[in-house]
Amino acid sequence: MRLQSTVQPWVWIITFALFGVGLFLGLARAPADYQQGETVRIMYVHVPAAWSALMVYTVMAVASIIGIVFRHPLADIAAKAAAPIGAAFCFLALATGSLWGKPMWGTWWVWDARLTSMFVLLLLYLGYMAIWQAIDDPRRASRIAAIVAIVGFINVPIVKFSVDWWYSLHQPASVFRTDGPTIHPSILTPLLIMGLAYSFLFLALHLISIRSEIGARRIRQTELARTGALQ
Amino acid sequence: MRSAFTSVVARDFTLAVRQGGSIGTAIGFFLTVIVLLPLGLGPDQQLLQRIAPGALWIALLLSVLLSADRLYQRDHDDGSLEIMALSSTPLEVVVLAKASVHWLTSGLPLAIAAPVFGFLLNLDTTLIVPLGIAMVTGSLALSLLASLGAAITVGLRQGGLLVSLLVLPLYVPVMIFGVLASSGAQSGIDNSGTALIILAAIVLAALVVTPFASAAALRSYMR
Amino acid sequence: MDFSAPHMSFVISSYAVTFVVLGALAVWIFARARSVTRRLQQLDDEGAERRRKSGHPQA
Repeated sequence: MRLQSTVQPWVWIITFALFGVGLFLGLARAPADYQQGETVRIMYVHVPAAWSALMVYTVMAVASIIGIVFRHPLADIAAKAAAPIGAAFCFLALATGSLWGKPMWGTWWVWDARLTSMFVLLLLYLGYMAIWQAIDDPRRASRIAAIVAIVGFINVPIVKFSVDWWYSLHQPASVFRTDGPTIHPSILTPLLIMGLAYSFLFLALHLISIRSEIGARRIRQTELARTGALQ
Repeated sequence: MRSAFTSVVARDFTLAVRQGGSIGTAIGFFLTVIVLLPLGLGPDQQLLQRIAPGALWIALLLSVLLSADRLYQRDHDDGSLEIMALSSTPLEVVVLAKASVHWLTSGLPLAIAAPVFGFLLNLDTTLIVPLGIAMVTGSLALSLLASLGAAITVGLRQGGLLVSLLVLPLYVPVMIFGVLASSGAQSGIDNSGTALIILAAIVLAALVVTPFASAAALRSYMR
Repeated sequence: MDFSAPHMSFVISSYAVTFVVLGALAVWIFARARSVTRRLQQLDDEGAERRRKSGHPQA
């Protein structure tokens, strides 16, 4: 706890600095794409959101494994606290992808391999959070939610593989390629900085969430003890 | 251990057959989807032929999902699941037995019936055998994954919605490779052989993962 | 950046939706943290009060 309160301001400073530099480089310095024009700038919020959605799910799954193997409550709390943040990133990746797709592909939604697997990831996040909502007892909820997270973690690469296969068979004739020519450093640098900025934002929000969750459990225990004492 | 497996299978199978509901419900629901589809899409024979394998798979998936949430419900409510958990038989074996019964009473009959119902959708007759094989294989994975969903939500009052939300992502690969394995050369190149092998691999993966995950979930509900 | 470029509204809306969603997430997380701290403080005070009244400071 004490370590957290000394680290936290620094995490926020780094987060804001990275966002400042990344947005400046991405919006003001990086050139517009010769094919996509200014629309390419959506990439600086879209791609980092997708990366972080995957990263947060990995964090969640690893924390769940630690929680289920070593029965450490902090790991369960860390997994639970990560889920809403990851779901928000995942939603943003889908929303900005859709906003990118409309001018480039002509439709809001394409059953593209990446969009589809991102959508499945959002479903996994929602299912995980629904489990925590549905089960009252935190110890039981953490066990069940960990199973859901781990099975989902095994499922993600299988879904990615199958959707890639599926899409390559059903691919429409003319489609805009997301993996265009090799990325120029003037575009790659802001992209990587934005990726780091998203990671630090996750870290900052995650730390606060973990602390609230620990507090919420203490409140729950105190209240339970009190109702027990009253009877 | 083997006898415990067979006795659970025999018990549950007898219960399912005596009650009669489950197989009938599954086939009835399946038939409803198959009949409603052409009514909604129009009677174009070529269109129906093109979408027939996918439509049959969707119907199979929904019917399996329909019967999934009550897989453990009764045994959990009356306490027999706890007795099974306390016995010397590992809970994983019980889970496997229950998933097999679910397959025998919903997946397998549907997989056998689906090519027949395919006539209603003008299914290409050369696809009847590959479709049957793919469905028999794939429905095994569907039942295993459904049993996982049912185990995760067994102690909850409103488990139904949650089962669909949890199982849907797991069904995506089965659906994709199932349809590929049963649509032959319809989409251009014939990938059905490869798809069937991958489908079988998915079944094996489900066979390894789901009994342990389901048993762990059931155990944490019993504490 | 050229604001008159075609499809600029899509670029602006994608940055806007990112800002709004991340902002809402942060507000929600901070609000929860505050309410948890406040409730803990409240419980702490009540507990201290009760112990003082019942004369069991170590309970």
